[in-house]
Amino acid sequence: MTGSDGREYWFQVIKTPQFDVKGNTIGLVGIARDITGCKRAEEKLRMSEQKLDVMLQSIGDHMSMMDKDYNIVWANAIAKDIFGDDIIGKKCYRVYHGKNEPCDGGNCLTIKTFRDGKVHEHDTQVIDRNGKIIHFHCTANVALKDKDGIPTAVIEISRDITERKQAVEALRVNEEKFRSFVDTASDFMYILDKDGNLTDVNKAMIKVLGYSREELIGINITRLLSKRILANDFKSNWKKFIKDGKLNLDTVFATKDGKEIFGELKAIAIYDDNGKYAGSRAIFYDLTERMKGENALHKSEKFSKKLIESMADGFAILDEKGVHIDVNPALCKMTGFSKDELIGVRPPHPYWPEEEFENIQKAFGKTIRGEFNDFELFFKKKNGERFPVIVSPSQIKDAKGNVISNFATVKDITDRKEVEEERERLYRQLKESQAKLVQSEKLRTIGLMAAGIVHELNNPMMGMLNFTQYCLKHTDKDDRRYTVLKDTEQTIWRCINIVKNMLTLAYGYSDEEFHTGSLTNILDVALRLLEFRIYANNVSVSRKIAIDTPKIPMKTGKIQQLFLNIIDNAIYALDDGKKREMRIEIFPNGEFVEIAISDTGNGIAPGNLDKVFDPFFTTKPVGQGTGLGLSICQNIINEHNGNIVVESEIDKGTTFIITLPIRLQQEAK
Amino acid sequence: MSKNILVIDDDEAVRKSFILALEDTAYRVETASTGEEGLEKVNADGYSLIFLDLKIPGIDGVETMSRIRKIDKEVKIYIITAFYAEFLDGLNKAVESGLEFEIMQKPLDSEQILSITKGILDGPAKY
Repeated sequence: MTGSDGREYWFQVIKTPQFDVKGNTIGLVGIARDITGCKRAEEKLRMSEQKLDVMLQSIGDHMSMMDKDYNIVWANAIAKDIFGDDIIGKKCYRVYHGKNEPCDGGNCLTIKTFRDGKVHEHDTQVIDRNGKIIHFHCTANVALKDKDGIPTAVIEISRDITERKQAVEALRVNEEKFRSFVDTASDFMYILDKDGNLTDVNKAMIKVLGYSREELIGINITRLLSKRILANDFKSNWKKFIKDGKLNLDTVFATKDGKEIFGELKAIAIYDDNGKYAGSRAIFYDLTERMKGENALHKSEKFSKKLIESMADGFAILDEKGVHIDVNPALCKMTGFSKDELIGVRPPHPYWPEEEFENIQKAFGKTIRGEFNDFELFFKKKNGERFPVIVSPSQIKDAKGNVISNFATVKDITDRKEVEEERERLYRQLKESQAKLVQSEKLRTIGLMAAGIVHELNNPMMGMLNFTQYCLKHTDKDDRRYTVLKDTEQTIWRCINIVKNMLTLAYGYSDEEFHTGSLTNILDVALRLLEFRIYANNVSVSRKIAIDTPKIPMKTGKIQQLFLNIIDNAIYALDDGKKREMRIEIFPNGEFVEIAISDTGNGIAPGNLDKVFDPFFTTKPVGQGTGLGLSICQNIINEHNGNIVVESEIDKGTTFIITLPIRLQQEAK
Repeated sequence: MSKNILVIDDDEAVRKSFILALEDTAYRVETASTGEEGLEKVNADGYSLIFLDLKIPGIDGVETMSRIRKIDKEVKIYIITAFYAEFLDGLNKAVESGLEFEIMQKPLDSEQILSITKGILDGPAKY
C-alpha cells in the first residue's frame, strides 16, 4: 500500500468476516502487519499470495478483480457460483450487467476507482448466471498499482442484498398500504412525543380539525382539546395514562373554528428502553353525530328524571291496573306515605279517602279509555287529614298505540282553595261594606232630612192618637164605628213607630260635638225616658255604678241614644222572659269605662249573634223595628273609638258590653 | 193634694190630647202654649202636676222648669218630649243640679196620660 509519504509499504493482511445473527455477512475485520521492512523471499511472497487467495476464496461475499480493460482477472468462489465458473478473462460489464459496452463511468465503481484510486461503494443490480436480477451492495478499491502508483487492478467486493432490498420494498409497500389505511380512516390517529406534541397525524384529523398538517405537527395535543375538557379532568387522566400505559376516555376536541368534536379516545403509551415514557399513539373515534342524538336523549332523560324529582306537584307512574310503578318525593310529602308504602301498591291507594273511591275509579276508568280530563277531588293524608287536589292524568303510547305507561300529576290545591275562599270572603265583605256604606250614607241623608219633619209629626200624632182614643171611649163597642176607630188607633200607632224609627235614624247619623259628661246622668235620663215602659213591662232594673267612674268625653246625645236603644232592646227581650230582670253596670277598667247591660230574656240565637249589628237585621215583627238600632249603636261606639260586644245564651239572657275610652284618643269621625 | 194639672205645650193637638184624656175625671186641666204663659199660671194658681214640653217658643222647657222650681218646689213636673238632642245637655244639667222632674217620651196616649196622672196624684200604686 502507498503511505501518506508516497512510499510503498508492504503489509501482511488478515481479514475475518463478521456475521449477523441470521448468518449474513455484515463485514470484515482486517489485521494488517507491516512487512515492508522484511526482506522476504520470493517464495515467501508466493506463499503469501497463495494464503491470501485461500483467504479471499473463503470469504462469503462476492469478490472479483478487474484490470484496466475491465477483464475479470480474478474472482472468488462465490463470484463463480453466481456468475459462472468461466468468468475469468471475460469483460466485467458483460458478465455482471449483460452489456456489450463498458458501463457509464458515472455509475461504475470500477471505473471510478481506476480514475481516482479511492474506495467507492454503491447499490447496484447485477444479472446472475441464470438471468435473475440480484441486488448488490458493492465496494470497489484499488487492488494493484504500477510503479507510478497508477491502479492496474480494482477489486470489487459485493454483498447480495436482494433479500434486504425486498424486505425494504415490502416494508415500503406495507407502509404505503398502512398509510393509505390510516389516511382513509374517518377517525383521528396521531402520535405524540413524550411532551404531548404531535409528531404525526392522519388526514381525518387534518380534515376534521381544519388545521394543515404543518400546523398540527409539533403542536401540543392539549391545544386541540375542548377547553371544557381541559378544565375538567384531562390532567388527572394524563397522569393516569402515563402510569397505566393506556387510556380509554370520552373526550372532546375543538376544531380550528371552535366546533366541538365528541368522541372516544384510545391511546397507548410508548416507553423507551429504560421504561421511561416516550410518547403515545392514539385513535380518536369521532362520535359527534351519534352523540348529538344520544346526548340529547340522555340529557332529556336525565332532565325529565330530575324535573319529576324536583316537581312541587306529586307525580305517579302507574301500570294499566293502576299499580304504582314510581312516585316522586312530592307525592310522598303531600300524602305522608313513604315511597315504599306506595310503590307496587294496587288500588285503592292508601291516599284515597273512602268517600272518593267512586270518583277516583270513574276518573281512572276514563283515563284508561284515553280521556285526559283534570279532575278535582280530595286525597287523604296518612294522618287521615283530607286535602283538595287536582289530578291530571296522561299516557304514553308506542307507535302501535299500546299504552306504555300512565302518569298522573297531583296538585295540592289546599292553598288555592283557601285563597279562593279568602278572596270570596273578602269580596263578600267588600260588597257588604260597600252596601253598608251606601246604605248608611242614604240613611244619614234621610235621617238628617227627616229629623226636622219627624219632630213636627210627633205632636200631631199624639193629637190623633188621643182624639181617636177619646172617640173610642165614647163609642159603644157594638157600634160599627168602634171597630173603625180601633183600626184608626192601630194605624196611628204604626205611624208613631215609623216616626220613632226615623228619629232613631236622625240621631244616629246626626253630627255632634264631644263634651265631657257623666255616663251616670245619661243613663239616668235614659231610664227615666223609658220608665213608663219599664214599669208597664214589669221589669226590675238594678244599677251598679262604680263611685270612681270618671266623666268621659262623648257625644252626649249619641250615648243617650245608645243607652235608649240597648235598654229598649232589653225590655223587648224580656217581654217573653220568665224572669224580667235587667242589670246595668258601669265601672272603670284601665283606660276605659265599661258598661255592661244584661237582661234575663230569651237570648239571641247563635246564628244571629254576629248579625245583630248589621243594619236592617231584626227579629221584631214588621213595623215594630227598623233593624237599625244596634247598627246605629255600633256606629256611635265607633265614633267614640270604643268597642261593643254581645254575649248571649238562649233562655238565659243577653249581655252587651260597651267599652269607651276615658281619654279622647283622636279626633273621631 | 189638689187635682189641678197644667199642660205647657205649644201644640194645640197635644194640649187637647191631655184635655180629652182627662175629661170626665176628677182632675182639672189647664193649658199654656209658652213657658212664660205657663209661669204666669203657676204664679197665679197652684198645681199638683205640670206636663212640660221641652221645645216651646220663648224660654225653653228646661229653663221654664228651673223657674217653676223657684216658685214651687213641690209640684211634680213631667217633661214630655220627643227627645231632642239639643235639649239633652240642658236635661243633663237639670239632673246634675238636682232638679226634681220626670220625663216621658212623646207621643203619649190617653191611657198613659191617665196612668201617669193617677200615679202622681193618687199615689204610686199603679200607672
